[in-house]
Amino acid sequence: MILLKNRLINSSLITIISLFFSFLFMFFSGQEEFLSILPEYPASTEFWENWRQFLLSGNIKYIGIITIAASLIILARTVYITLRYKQPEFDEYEISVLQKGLSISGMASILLIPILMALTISQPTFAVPYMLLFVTLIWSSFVLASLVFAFR
Amino acid sequence: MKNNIRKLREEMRMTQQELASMAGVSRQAIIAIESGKYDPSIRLAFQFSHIFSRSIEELFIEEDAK
Repeated sequence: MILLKNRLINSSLITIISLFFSFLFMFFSGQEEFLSILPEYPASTEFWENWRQFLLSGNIKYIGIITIAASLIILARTVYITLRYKQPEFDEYEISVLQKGLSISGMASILLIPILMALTISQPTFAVPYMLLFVTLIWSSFVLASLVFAFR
Repeated sequence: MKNNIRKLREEMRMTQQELASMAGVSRQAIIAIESGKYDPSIRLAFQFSHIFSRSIEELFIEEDAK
């Protein structure tokens, strides 16, 4: 938590993790090996079928591009605030907001794990789409919340 | 907890940004404190006490204090 109090360390961490996910999304998007591990048969519900089609068409790379773009905007804004207002660290109010955000994100992840597990056990062939939606939801919402926090 | 920060700041014809700079916090922190959404730490309360030359009891009022 002490390290996260520093604006630049905080946004650099978000950017590094986003770079990792974005690289994976862009690298695997449309690749033969990746497409071969996706379920061949249509999903039973419209929602999961739409998600399967989204992955099959390689559109996940756009999520990667949007995520990394948002992270770079956060990093640029952080550098601007640090230089303009000479506030390298979050103040106590910002830390309290950050702690709340991390708690909500952590709780959401913990709650999603059993759901992900139940879904995977009920339909193992859809394990990869389930996991990708889980990762996309958690990380995209965290980056979006950080973006709002940076410009509030 | 209620507080008189906004009232005293306006009496001193100070902007939220100016108060934020003097107290070493962000403008968002001042907005949250003035609207009662955030209760400052004792360290920040002392900062306000010095800035406004008032005691902490004059700045902050415990709502359920008897």
